Amino acid sequence: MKHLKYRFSSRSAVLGFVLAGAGAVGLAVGCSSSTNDEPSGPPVVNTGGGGSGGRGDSSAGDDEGGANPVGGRGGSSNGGAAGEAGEAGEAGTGAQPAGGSGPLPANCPTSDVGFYNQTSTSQKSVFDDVKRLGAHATLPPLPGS
Amino acid sequence: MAEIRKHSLLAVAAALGVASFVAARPARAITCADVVGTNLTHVIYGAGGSAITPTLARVAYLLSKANPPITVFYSDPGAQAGYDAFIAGTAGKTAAPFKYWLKEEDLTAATPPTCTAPSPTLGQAIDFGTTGGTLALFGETLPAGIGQFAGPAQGVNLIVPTGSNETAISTQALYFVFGFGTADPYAPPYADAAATQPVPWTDKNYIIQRKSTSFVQQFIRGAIQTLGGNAATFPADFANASTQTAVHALDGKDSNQGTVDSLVWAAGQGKAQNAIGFTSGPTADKNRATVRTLAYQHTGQLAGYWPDSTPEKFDKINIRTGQYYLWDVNQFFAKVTGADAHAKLSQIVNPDVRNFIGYFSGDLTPPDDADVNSAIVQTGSIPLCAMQVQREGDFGPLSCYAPVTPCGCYFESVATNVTSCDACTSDSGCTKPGAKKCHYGFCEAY
Repeated sequence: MKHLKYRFSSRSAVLGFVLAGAGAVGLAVGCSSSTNDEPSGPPVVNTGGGGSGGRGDSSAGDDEGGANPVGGRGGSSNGGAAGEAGEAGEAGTGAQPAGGSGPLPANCPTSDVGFYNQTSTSQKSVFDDVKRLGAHATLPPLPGS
Repeated sequence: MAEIRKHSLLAVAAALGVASFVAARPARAITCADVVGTNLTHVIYGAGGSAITPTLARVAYLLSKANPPITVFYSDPGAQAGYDAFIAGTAGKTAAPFKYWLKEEDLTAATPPTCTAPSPTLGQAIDFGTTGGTLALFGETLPAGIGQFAGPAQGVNLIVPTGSNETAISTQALYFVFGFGTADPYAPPYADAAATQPVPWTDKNYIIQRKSTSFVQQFIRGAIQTLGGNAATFPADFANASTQTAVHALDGKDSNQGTVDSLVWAAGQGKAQNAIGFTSGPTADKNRATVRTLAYQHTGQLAGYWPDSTPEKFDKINIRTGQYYLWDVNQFFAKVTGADAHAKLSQIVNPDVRNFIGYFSGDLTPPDDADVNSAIVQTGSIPLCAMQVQREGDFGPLSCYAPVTPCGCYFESVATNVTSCDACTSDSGCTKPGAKKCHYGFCEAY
């Protein structure tokens, strides 16, 4: 543990000396005590335990996209050791996740626009591109392009 | 008179000397080895973006107190820079030190404590990397020996100072604001007579951007590019229109928090109406006292929506249902053994990293004394078990998602302190139709 560090700022001392000039000895000796910036660490308790079991290691789940909504990106679906038996995921390609193993809602939108404009009780605010952007609403070329 | 002037000169000189000494004294940079000392064990080092930093900070704090503990040091120079540092095995140099959170007050400090690598030139070997989205955002691919693991989802928020009158923005407006800003907002072609209610974001001094290596910037760019046409080649560096976050960040660095700092600075200049930026959802939520999230209206959408059901709530319902476009899934990276394609957690070489990522992804149960899921939710991130929608890649088509073990009720109870779901300890406690399964303490639909 390093509690204190001392520094002498020769640059500061020289500057002080020069400025004091005529007979004044500008001596600036710096002795800086670091603040107690070393944190208190957590108590070390080596129990040998930890790593509690996962919620299920479904070996079939690694490539189905079922346990990972971005399965196409190679996400994980592996539980820890000694986990319960995993619930089987739907078969899929990995590149196009199948959507988990739970029941999908009957009213699931079938397009992105369907998701954007689905019925909602959320507060909303309409942005009028023409009123707010004028001619720029038509996406003219960027300056310098 | 001459004597008085002489004494005055000496006094001033002495004061200047002392002042210059104080000003010149360099701050002592401590190394992470200093912090670890002999007390801390299960130490891991990470590098990546700052989008997840508020969430990672709280999880790291919890795990530092858990039994057994994990001590996390995290350098967040930006998603791509951090990932590259992980791959190169060097981070924590003086310019991008490691943050750490071992005390409760570290979580609320304007800047958390930091430490540097033992060698400021060689850096520190990194155990994990993390980015707000996929490597495709940066044109990178996963190298051999590295596994990729999904973490929680999180939003990307367009933010303005709380003093702004604006409430919404569209994809087309993003193209204009971040593509056309000027130092003279009244010069053509920016003064547009056809705009009867022109947007106030035309002065590049108050339009705040990140570096091109940041996740949020590349995600906003990708959203703009979905417009096609001229927008399809929107530049990665946003060079036309914006001011870099680091210019006005309190710590002088490019980060999600730096964007908030910049908007606070703009408001202080009397430019609250003209200021805009983008940041991660967790960062925006952490700073609601000073910045406000705009509703976002994606192209093809009839109205703009907030990530939450109202600007004041924290339920993230519009991310979870796909009504709010700007969200992605955080990715973790770690060294693995064996085949790295679709690697499993069990393949992660470092057991502490395996646990850390597993707790984050929800695939491993954390120690009883570390409520990681609650920390994730409280900081504005969304465990995947609370999602009802999924997306292929960063901008791919949306589809419904039914997680294996749903936690929507738990999410709402933690995020909003309110849920209409019944509490339970087992399935037998779930008697209502359509809510028969007990997960995370609440009756879910299945």
